Amino acid sequence: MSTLRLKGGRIIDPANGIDGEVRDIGVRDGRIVALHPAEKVDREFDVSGMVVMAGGIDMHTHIGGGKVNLARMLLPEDHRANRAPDNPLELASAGCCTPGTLATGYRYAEMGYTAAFEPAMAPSNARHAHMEMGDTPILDHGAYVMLGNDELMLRMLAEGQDFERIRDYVGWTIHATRAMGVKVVNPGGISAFKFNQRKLDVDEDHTHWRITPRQVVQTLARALTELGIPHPLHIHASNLGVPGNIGSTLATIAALEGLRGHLTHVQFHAYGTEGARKFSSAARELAEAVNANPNVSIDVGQITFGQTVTASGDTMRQHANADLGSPRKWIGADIECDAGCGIVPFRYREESFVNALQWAIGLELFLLVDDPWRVVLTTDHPNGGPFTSYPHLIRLLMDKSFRDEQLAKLHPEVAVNALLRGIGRELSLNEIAIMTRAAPARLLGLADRGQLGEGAAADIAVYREDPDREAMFTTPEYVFKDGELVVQRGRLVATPVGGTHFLEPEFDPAIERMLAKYADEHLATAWRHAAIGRDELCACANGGRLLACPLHGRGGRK
Amino acid sequence: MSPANDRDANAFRLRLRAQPALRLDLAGFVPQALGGETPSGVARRALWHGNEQVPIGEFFDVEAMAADGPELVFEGDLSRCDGLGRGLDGGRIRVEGDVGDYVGSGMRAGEIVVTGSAGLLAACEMAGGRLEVGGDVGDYAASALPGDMDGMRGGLFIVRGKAGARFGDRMRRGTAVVFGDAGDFLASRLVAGTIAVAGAVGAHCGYGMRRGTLIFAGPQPEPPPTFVPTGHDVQVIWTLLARSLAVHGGPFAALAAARPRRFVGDLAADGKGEWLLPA
Ligand SMILES: [Zn+2]
Ligand SMILES: [Zn+2]
Repeated sequence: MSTLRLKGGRIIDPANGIDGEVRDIGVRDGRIVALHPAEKVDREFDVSGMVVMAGGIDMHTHIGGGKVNLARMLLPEDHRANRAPDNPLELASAGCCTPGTLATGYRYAEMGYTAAFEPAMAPSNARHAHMEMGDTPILDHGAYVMLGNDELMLRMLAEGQDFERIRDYVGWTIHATRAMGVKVVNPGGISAFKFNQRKLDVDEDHTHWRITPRQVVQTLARALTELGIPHPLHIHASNLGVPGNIGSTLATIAALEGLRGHLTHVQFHAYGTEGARKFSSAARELAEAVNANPNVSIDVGQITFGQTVTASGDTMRQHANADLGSPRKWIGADIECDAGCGIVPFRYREESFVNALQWAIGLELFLLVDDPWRVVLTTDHPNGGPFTSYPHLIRLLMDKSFRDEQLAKLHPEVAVNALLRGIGRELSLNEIAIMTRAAPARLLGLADRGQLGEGAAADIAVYREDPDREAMFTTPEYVFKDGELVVQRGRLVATPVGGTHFLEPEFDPAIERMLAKYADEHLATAWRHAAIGRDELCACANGGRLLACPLHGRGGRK
Repeated sequence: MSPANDRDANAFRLRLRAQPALRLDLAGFVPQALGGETPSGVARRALWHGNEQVPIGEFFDVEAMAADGPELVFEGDLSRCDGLGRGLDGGRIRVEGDVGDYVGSGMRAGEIVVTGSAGLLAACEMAGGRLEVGGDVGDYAASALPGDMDGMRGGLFIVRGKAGARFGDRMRRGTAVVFGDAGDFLASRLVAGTIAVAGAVGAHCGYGMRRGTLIFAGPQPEPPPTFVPTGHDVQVIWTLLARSLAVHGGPFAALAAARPRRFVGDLAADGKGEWLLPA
């Protein structure tokens, strides 16, 4: 049994309604507990004057799986540019925008993050994704499995099969791949690309299957609701990056018909066609729609300037963007026709009108949506920029004058005309804690994470107060993972193995016969190897803890 | 050395005393960085030996020498020493013996002469200056680092012995001269620049060549099916080219008299690369 006490910190714990109260936090065996002030502890930390929050949770960051690995292989120059490690605890791992698994865990933990979720796991590649995440130290992890472009689901929809069968297939897929949710990427569009379509609007027919993105979104959202999956359907909407895509983004929200949905990297989906360049911010329209639809949550996918790489399941849009690559190379790939993959290196430039406007649109979305519980802070790492830019992003959101300084450096048309200029809102520490901890935990159904109440996991970040919020969030004074000190003064002091969050939804096992037949007829891998068992997941996860999450309204399959 | 000899200098002779157990990384160990240093100061400079940093004096005896400008002379078998002259931006380096991988990689100016052979990736991404290797070079000479888009992009690279595979892969400017044979995939994906070779060439020569010029001063290879003969009169450019290559002597001395056949390809890529076959 081990105990510790954080003494005299200023607690920011929005999940429990605590905003700045000064009090002690007790920890016993990795859990937060109430300790009597006189009780002796194994270790006491004086954190008076410091800010204490739950560990950060990144609910959309590309950290594991084939596409991430392809991005690494495409950009060896990114790994050559890396700094040499000066901490003997760090094993060799490199990369800035495509860090290796080890560097990913190290850099996240150094910022006070303790969990990260891979949003685009191809079903056929789930083992690889879990292995890479298992190889990522310190962080707990999980993944959303991609559906809605797999030939099987589109065929079932096209044939008008019973909804219950499709729901069982979704349930089976989540269970078999040990996912935390489902992501739909350009609904139906990745498949349509393979049938030579180069765009697919929400109510446009897939030329082969004669189904629409609207049907795909509705079916999946309904299936997840009935299966009791805590995380709403994770939606990468149609027409990513296309001027005027606000129309399809709003149509996607409408397609949910009140069912819960999480629209991801919305910065890339909030573009109008106004102005001489036919490219404008539609942040206000989108923010109004989010404010008006309490069933909708978002993460932003903020861009930051400099070199990065875009890694997406959206083969259709990545193919269209390939010519913009810098350096000029790209990869498109596919496995088993169950999703897609496109990797395009990219450099966001301050002097580019388009990039400057994208930057402004992202910040506008953060600041125009009223309810911070429905906005999650992301850069869609590495698509908008590497996750290491979060402290900078936090400062932009909390400090209007700093934001204005940065805006003034950008392309003059954006610097002068951006909607952002007129937005005075500065986020509070409480709001930042919601967007980086409490909201993602709630949206994922992680009851004992993202908060500091009694019984919660002792994932804790302690920051030294600094009016320069970038400096403050870059170098936490202490970070604890399940009660173990992992970072001190921004430097790693331990690298434990993280745990895997996953779901085991119920489904009618009769579906397996149909899936086995489909696999025999169409797929390269043997059906009997499709599902990942618990023992295998444990091996994939590097021996880390298996964190099976409860489902809504039911106990899960026994 | 006696303290009396330990004076500031801008040229040093480094004699390899003991073979390093692991690879030694000499990147950054360039003449301009050592100007005004004393021999004992040079000997204390740290470099990477495997994953630990050690003073160069552990492996080399260092003494000052007279020279007109910044210069380093290495003596011994440096085949475990990599990165020599990486990013060289002036001054001279001479190796009396063999050298390891990446010699002259990314060099922009100055001169490197290696009397023996060099390892992998010699002159990779070289952008200027002069690099001469008296012996052979390994694979990927004058090419790009793995994953990079451009290989050698300027300067003069002379190989007196044989070249390995993928010589000049993705090269886009500069001149490379090979006296001996070249391995497979010579000038693959060549974007621009000139390569003259006097020996035999391996399989897939000119694979994916987009532009640039290949001159075969010795054996005349059969152009692949994706290269086609052109009827152009190239006599003017040939005269200029042959004159510029003649300074290298040997098989390149008497090219001007020839009437070369000209082929272009690789038609499977951009198809604007040229092969000049003077015999
Ligand atoms: Zn996406
Ligand atoms: Zn993403």
